[in-house]
Amino acid sequence: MSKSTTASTDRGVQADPQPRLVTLADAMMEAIGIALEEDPAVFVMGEDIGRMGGVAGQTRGLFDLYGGDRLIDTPISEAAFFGLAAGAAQNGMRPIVELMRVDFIGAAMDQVFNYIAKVGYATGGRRRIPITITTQIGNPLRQGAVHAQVLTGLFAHLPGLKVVAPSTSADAKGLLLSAIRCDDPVVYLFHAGLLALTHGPGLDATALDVPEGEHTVEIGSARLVRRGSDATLVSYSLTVHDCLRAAGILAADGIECDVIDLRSIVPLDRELVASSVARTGRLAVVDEDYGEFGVAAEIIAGIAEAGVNMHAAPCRVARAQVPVPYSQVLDDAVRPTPQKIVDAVRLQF
Amino acid sequence: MTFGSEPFFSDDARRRAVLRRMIRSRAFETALGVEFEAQRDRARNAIGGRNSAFEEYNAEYRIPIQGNLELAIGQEAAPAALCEWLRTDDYAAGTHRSHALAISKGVEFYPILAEIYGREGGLCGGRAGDFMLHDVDVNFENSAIMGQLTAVALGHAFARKKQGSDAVAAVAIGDGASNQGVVHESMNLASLWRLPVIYLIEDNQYAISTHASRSSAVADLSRRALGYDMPAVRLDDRDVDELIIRFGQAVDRARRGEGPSLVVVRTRRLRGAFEGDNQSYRHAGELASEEAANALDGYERQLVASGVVEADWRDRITAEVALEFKAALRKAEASELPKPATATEGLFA
Repeated sequence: MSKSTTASTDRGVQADPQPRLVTLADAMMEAIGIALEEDPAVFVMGEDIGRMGGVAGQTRGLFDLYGGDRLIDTPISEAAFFGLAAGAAQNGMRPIVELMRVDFIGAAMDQVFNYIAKVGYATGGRRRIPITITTQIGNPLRQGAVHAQVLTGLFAHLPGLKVVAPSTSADAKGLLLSAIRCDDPVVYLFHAGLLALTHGPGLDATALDVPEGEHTVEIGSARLVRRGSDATLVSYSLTVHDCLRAAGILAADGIECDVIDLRSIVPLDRELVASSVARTGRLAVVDEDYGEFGVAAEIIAGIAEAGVNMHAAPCRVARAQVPVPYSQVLDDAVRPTPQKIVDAVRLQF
Repeated sequence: MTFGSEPFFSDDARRRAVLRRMIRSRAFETALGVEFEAQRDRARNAIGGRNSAFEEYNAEYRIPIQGNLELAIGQEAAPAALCEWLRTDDYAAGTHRSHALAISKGVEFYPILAEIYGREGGLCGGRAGDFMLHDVDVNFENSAIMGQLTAVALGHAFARKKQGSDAVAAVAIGDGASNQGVVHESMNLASLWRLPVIYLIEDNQYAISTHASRSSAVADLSRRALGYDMPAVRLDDRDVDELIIRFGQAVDRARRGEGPSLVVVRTRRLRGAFEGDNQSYRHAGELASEEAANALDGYERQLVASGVVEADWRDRITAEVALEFKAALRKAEASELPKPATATEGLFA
């Protein structure tokens, strides 16, 4: 598996005259298509991913190409089909299992947490479960408490699951192909607010360009999206774009930020984060997941334990510790926004 | 819906093979129970005859048999009859009380014991214990999460079917676990997709202390299959010949691609739910009548009376198995403990 070629962080890079712009949903579809084509053991299973092409359009068109044996619509029985995938994966198959929304994990939790995550370790590697769990996160439609969560920390906390969450179409494709080829269970969190993404504020051309055909991104490698010298913003998925917006605002005040897109939560690229914070001396971790006991806390604890010298106390910009409220004004009050990121960074000066 | 159409029969060779498996299971479990009690007594004496779970298990007096021992004494018939029809490439999944199924499926004594002892030579190198036994060579595993493997069994069945094999997946649960949602999701999906699954409900009437009459809305658990258009039978393990025939039909139906079946077997748990459980929740005389009705003694009497085996056959086999157990136990006791430094290894492939 090769490192992504999209790691360029030089903001001076001129836009490729014609970057290949692909929506995040189509980028996922391309990765799944490549996997289905190259490996007959790969199949996709879940609710509405066959005939319909997925509620997010992430498997659109594949049913016509590969048929119902490879794109398998399931009943609403998450426990059954997650267990099924785990069993099939121990017999040479490579299931991509769709959890329609991450909020539905409760229905599959025993299979994922007590079986899929544990068997590889508990059997001393005699069994491995190469499955990719794709699931939609986030709240662009403002759907309230049970169709809006992110829950990264929930998956990351439990040993045995790799967890990735792309912020760009290129990474969406590269991470998904890497996940499918990985011999471990990988939870692939894709953000509903990014599905139509081709452009993002502050993203350089290399990040927008989605290579045709083969393209992988190493699971466990973060990416420096924007380079600064005064503060480090760390995030993943949709809020990377919020960080870039905030960095633009802060730059007008003369505060230059490193923006790191983790891409992979497990394993975590602690090195890139630590080296950035060592350079800038300031850290804000931006997480659309609930703030307490989560990814942001883990990153800040890691920096503290590494003894990185700081100019100011680090901070979390994350969801407040309440269920996601329905009304947009309430949700805005408790979720991270570019303005909250800007305010948090300014407080460190 | 008829259960099976093929004229399956139980000839004398099958009867002997099934009785032998039952005797082996009983002898193994009995010897393990005796050893456990001896270890517990030694620990108890070492701390001055007091009886405290905490002291028994504290670091100083820790006994070699780790964990919670849940013996299948009394429940040998169904696993023995089922495994009469299973091949090595068929998958079999057991419950928290699964040694009889493990032994009937062909798992060796030593690796089970070494696993219970937490040794490197155990089925999973001492990482899994009695509640997550995995034998990849004979396609056996168990889980102490009630009903969990009914979902995983789907995947073993699904993969075998996809790969053009006529191998099948058998999964055992108890009467208590039959009330779990995942069991019903699994039965629905198996029937919908005609997966080669054999469900066995070992109905010993108790979920630890809770009687089936206080757990299940139907007394006849085979009626559960009606909702899934799945053939089912309800048997009593006092009629072992009938068990052999019916499991033969269920396995045959699965092999021929006709889909799943449910076999509910009323059986008798002659030990506590776990060793140390005094079964005070049973009414007076109940245990004695369960013991009197137990399948092994009855089937032995039947086969001796009909001249299929000689009068001392069971004693001879029991003596052989006792020697085999002793040798396996010695080997387990002498086997290496896993190196502590390896505890953090192998989470991922």
